[in-house]
Amino acid sequence: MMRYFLPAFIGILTLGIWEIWVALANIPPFVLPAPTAIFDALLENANTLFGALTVTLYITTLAFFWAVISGIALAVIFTRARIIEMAFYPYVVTLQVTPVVAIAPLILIWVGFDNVDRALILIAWIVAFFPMLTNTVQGLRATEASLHELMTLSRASWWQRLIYLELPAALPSILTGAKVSGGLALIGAVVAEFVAGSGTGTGLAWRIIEAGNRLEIANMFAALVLLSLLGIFIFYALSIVEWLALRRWHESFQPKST
Amino acid sequence: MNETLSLDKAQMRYGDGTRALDGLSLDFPSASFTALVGPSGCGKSTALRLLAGLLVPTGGSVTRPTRDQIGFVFQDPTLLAWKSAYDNIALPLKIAGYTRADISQRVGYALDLVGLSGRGAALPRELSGGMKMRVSLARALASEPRILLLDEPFAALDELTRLRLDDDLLHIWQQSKCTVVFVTHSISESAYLAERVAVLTNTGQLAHIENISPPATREGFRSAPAFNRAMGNIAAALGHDLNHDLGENLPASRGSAS
Repeated sequence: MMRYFLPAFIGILTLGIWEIWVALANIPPFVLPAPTAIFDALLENANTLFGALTVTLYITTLAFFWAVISGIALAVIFTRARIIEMAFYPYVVTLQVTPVVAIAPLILIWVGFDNVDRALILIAWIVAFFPMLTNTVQGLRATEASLHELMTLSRASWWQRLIYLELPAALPSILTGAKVSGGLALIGAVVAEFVAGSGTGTGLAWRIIEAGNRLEIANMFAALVLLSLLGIFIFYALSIVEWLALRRWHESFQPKST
Repeated sequence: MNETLSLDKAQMRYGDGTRALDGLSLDFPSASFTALVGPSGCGKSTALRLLAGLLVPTGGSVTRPTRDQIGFVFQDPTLLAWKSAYDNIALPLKIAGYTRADISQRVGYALDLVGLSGRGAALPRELSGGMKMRVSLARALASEPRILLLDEPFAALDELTRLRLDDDLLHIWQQSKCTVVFVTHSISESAYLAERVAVLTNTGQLAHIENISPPATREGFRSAPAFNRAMGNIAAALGHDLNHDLGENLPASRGSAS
């Protein structure tokens, strides 16, 4: 009970103090709007904002989807063929450590001319991809040696070994990677929208820039609230998937034995 | 059908120069029960893995029938945590391409053999350590192998469970008349179970062969003179080895030489 009550209480308290303080100190709305003003802005621009939310959600979801598919696929290839890992891993790292903001303009020029969405998805994918890869690799590598021997004794094909043993054994790591990757996909989508700039962006991040340019701070906050909610939604959605997939057998979901 | 099982001057050296087996020759007659005993790191697990075909000897040769006639029981239960007892036992059969009906019949038979009928739906975490080991045993027996290889299977269990499983194993062996090779570090377990105990030195050579003619029912065998004589001879063979080699030639701690 306290787990839900306490944070709710802190939230309401903060909003209350904020509301009163803005009113008492006469803070102009273009510096800090009151929570009620933000809520009004949210309602007033509901159509535009929810339209923008769908765009950002679309970019994020597709980037995340491709991050999961490509992360797992590449992890399987890396763990199967050491030589491919040796050859390509430095470049995967290079792609990861180069700030995506710096690569984004190039991607927009190459890919974004005829299809901006595709460029945005690609940029968000670059951000989201890496934890998916590393977590899956780690999960695949951690599979017990004796279980591998069991598969060898059963004369399992590489495909059977993958389906029956390695992927399920790596599932906890894969889902941990997915939780990180889901959050990063959203960050990537926002960064991509920022970089894509005027005339192209129709997502929430672009709404924030636009509102900022016009000093409509309440609108800025309204878009920000939606972005936070989207992030929270992604995190909990993936946590639920994790719970559904692991609760029956994985020790992290078992009651602690004494 | 070729059922010969033997090691001929088998030698095993690992890449780092560790010598796990040094010219071990042993024949395993059909339907015999042999125990391999020796200090930690003497190569008894390595010998078993050579017999199973999990390792290829670096010298000498191994004669064994095709792999589907071999059942292997690991030191740990080695179960897939996300699969029920039934599905764990069924997996090697499924990989080997048995029909559904055949699998169901064989798994039922194997569960019955290890005294777990009715527990097929249980997940490994819902089973005790002894029961998990029984599932592991059932999995090795489900394909009705002609040869059963066991790698310190009951070493991690409590004494009472272990004694029960020893008796159950004897019963299974007497029923199925398969060839059993049982690796253990327990002198009393080896003398109680086996018709023949092969003692290895910690340099991976044969120190002694103790032939025992135990009664079919081991009732009271633990207090019989034959049992105690065997125990004494095995201990002497091990003690001799310990006195001479301990300290100057300690085996490196290699994984599979356990």
